[in-house]
Amino acid sequence: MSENKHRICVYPYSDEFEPVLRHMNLLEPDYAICALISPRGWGLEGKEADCGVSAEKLIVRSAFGDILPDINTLLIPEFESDEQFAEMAVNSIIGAPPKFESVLCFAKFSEAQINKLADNFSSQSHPPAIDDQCSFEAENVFEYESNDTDMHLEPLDVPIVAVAGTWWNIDKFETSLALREMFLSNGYKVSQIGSRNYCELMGFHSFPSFMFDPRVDAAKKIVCFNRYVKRIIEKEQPDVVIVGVPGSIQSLNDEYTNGFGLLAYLTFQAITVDFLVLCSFYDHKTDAYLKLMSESCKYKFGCAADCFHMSNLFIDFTMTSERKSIVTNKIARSYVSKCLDEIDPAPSIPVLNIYDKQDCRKLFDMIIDKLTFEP
Amino acid sequence: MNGMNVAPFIHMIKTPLSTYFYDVNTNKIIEVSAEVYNFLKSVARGTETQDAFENSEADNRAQTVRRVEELKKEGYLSAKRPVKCLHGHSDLLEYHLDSNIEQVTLQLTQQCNFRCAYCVYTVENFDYQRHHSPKKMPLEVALKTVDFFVNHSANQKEVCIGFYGGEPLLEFETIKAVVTYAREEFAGKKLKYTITTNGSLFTFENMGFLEENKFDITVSLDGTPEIHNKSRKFAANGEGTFSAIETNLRIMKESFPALYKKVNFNVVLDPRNACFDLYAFFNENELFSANQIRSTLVDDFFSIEKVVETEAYSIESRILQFKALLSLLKRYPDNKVSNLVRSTVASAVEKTETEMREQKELPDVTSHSGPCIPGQRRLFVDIHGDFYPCERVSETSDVMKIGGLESGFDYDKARALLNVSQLTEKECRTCWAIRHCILCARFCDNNSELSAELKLSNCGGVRSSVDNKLRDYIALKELKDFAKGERYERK
Repeated sequence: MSENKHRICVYPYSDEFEPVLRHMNLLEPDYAICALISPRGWGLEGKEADCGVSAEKLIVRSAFGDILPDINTLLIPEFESDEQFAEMAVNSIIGAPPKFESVLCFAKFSEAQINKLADNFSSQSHPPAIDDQCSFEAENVFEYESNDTDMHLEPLDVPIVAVAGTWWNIDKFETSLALREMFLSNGYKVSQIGSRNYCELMGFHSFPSFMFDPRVDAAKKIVCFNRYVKRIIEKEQPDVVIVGVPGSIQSLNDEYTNGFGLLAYLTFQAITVDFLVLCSFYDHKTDAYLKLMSESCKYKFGCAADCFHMSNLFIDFTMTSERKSIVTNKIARSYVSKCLDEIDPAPSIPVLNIYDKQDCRKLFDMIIDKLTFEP
Repeated sequence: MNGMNVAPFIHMIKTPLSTYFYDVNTNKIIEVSAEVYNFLKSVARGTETQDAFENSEADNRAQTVRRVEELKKEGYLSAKRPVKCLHGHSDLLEYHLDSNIEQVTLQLTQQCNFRCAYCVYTVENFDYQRHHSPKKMPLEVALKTVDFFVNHSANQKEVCIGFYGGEPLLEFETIKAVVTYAREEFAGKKLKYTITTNGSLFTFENMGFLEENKFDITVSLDGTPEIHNKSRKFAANGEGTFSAIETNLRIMKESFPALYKKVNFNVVLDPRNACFDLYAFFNENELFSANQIRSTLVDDFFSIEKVVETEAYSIESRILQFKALLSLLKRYPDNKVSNLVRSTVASAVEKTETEMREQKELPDVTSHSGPCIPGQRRLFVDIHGDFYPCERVSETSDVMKIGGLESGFDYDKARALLNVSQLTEKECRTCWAIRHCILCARFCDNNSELSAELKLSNCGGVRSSVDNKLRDYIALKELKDFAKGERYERK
C-alpha cells in the first residue's frame, strides 16, 4: 500500500460511501482508502466498515488525532446535511492535526467555506490543492455542444445497461459497482457513468454536472448527454456501457414529488437502454406491482425494467406523517433475502439482492443472456 | 346458495345516507346498494341469506348476486384471515434497537411542585403507578443516556431528546448540562429538544436557554382559571396555579417571542364539565389564540375512579367537532372553529387518510396495529437509568422494564411487548378491526404480567371507536359529495 500516491482519509464518512469500500479493488491504483472519520453523532464510531471481500479492515474513528501519520490525502465526500453541519465539518478539518498534501473535495461547500479551507492549508510549506473532482470531460462536452444548434441524437451502437431507482441512496451505486466488477472480471471492456460525483476515483465518469444545472435547457441536456456518451464510446471503445441514473425515477405521490423523476426522464431520452435494473424500496412486493413498475418505465423511458434489486431502505410512514417530510429507515440486509424468499408466487420479473453474491452472478448472466440473444 | 363458502372478512356500516362495507383485507370502504348490504350482512353474520331476500323481487336478487360476484372479481370480499399473530418487525427488533432509536425521554425528577387531581402520580393508595418523590436523575446517568442514544441511532438523520418529570424545570442545571453534552456528542446530526412542563417555573434564565436551543415546549393548561384551578394546584399550599402560569406566559410572549411561538398547550379535558366556555376561552384570549392547542381527555387508565362524561359535554364537544369538520370542507368559517378542536380534528382526519390507504391482502402472519417497537420510537429512561417503552406506561410494572443503561436492552421483554397480539391470537385473527386497533402493551399490563383478560376487556371500546372513525371518514366523504352536488344526483 505504501506505494500508493494518495493514502486517503475520508471525512465525514457515512454508510453512503460504503460501496466504494466494498469495491476497493476498483479504485484507481493511485488511491487507497486508509482511514474513515465520522462525526460522533452519526453513531458509527468504533464500528467496522463493510469492506466487502477486501482484506482491509477499517474501523470508523471520530477524531483526526486517531489516524496514522502517513495519511496524506483528505477526501470529503458529498454528504447530506444542513448549512450548520457543513460549517462544523469545515471547522473540524481546520482543527485537524495532520498536514494533508491534497484535499479531494466533493461536498457542496459554499465559496466562503472553500476559502476558509484554502486559507487554513495555505500556511503549510506545500499547501494542498483543493480539487473539485467533477468530470472535466463533461464540462468540455457541454461547452462544445451548448453552441451547437443541431439537436439530433447520435446513434449509440454499444449495449447500454442502466441502473435507476425509486429513491436516493437506494443501492444504485452499489449495483453499478457490482456490475462493473462482474463485467471486468469476465474480460469485458466497460465504460461507465456513475450516479455519484467521485467516480473518477474508480476509473470511470461521474454523472456530468450540466445535467443538474437549472440554467441549461432540458432539450439541450438530452443532446449533450447523448453526445457525452457518444464521445466516451468513441474514445474508450467499450463492449458495454453502464449508466447509473441519480435520484428517483418518479414522484412518490402528489405531496412528495421527487423532482418528478425529470433527471431520469432526460437521461433516458438521450440513450437507448438495452437492460434496466431498477433499485427499489424494501417491501413485500407483488407480481402486479413489479409489472406495473416495469411497464411504467417502458412507457416513460422506452425500456421496461428487466430486473429489480430490493434495497433495505423503507419509508417510515408514521414519522413521515409526523414530520411532514419523507423519513426513510433501514432494516438489516439479511432480512432482504428472507423477504425475497417469501415472494409467493415467484415474480415474473426477477427481484434480487445485489449484496448476495449468487444474485449478483444471476443478474450478470441475465444481462449477458439478453444482450447476446439473437432472434 | 350465496356463492360464499366462508364468510368474507368485512364490517358493515350504515349511515343516514347510504350503506357500505369495510373490506378488511384491502382496507377499503365500499359503498353498496341496500340489497347488497343486507345480503352481505347476512353472509357476514353466517345467517341464512334467504332472510336478506325476504322482500325482494327475483330480478333484484339476481342483480345483488351479480354485484357480489363483481366485487369478488375486483378483489374485495376475501375471506382471508391471518393464520398466526407475530409483529412484522419482531425478527428485526435487535436491529431497530441497535441503530434506529428516534427519541429518548429523560425522567429528570420524580418530584413536581403541583398536585393535580387527575395526575397518575398523585393518586394515593394505588400501586399501579409510582408516586411523586424527591428522587432525581444523577447527572452521570443523564450523560450516559446521551452516549447510549448516540450509539443506538446511527440510521436516524434527526433525533430528539425529551425532558420529562415530574416537573423537569426543577432540574434546570441538569437540562443545561445534557444539552451542552448532547450538542457535542450528536455533532453532525439534527438534534431537537422537547420539554413537557407545567409552566410555573419559567425564569428569564431558563427561557433564554430554551429559546437559544430551539426547544419545543408543551405546557399543560386546562382552560379558564376556574376550570384549571379546580384540578391543578400547588403542592405547597393547595392553591390554584393558573395565575402563576399566565404571568409567566405573558413574560415569555413579550420577552422571548420566538420561544413563545414554539409553545403548544396540552389541555386535559374533564368530560364531567360542560365545555362551550372552555372553547371560547382558548379562542378569545390573545395569549393562547395563535398557539397550537392539543386536547386530551383525563387519562383514567391508572385510576380506580373512572371518568364518565356528562351529557352537556357530549353534546357540546360533538357540535364543536362537527363545525371543525365543516370548516375543513370550507363550509364553515375557519375563524369560528374552536382552537381546542381544530388541530385535534385536522390531525385525526389526516391520520385517518393515511390509515385508510389501500392495502394488499392480509398476510398469513401479522399483528394487529397498536404496538410500536418498544423503545425505538420514544425510549423513556427513568431516574435510575431503567428503560421503558414510553412515558405513559407503569413504572412499577416489571414487564414494562425493557432494560437499562448498564445491562442494555432486554430483547425478550421488549419482544413480548411488541407481540401482545399473541396474547389474544384467536380473537385478533378474526377481528375486523385488526388493521386499526390501538391496543399496545400498556392496555395488557396488570402490573405483574401481560394479561389477555385485561386486554380483551378493552376490545369492545376499541371496535366501537374504530367503527366511529370509519363513520367519520365516510361522513366527510359524503359531505364532500354534497358540497359537489354529487350526492343529490346519486340519490
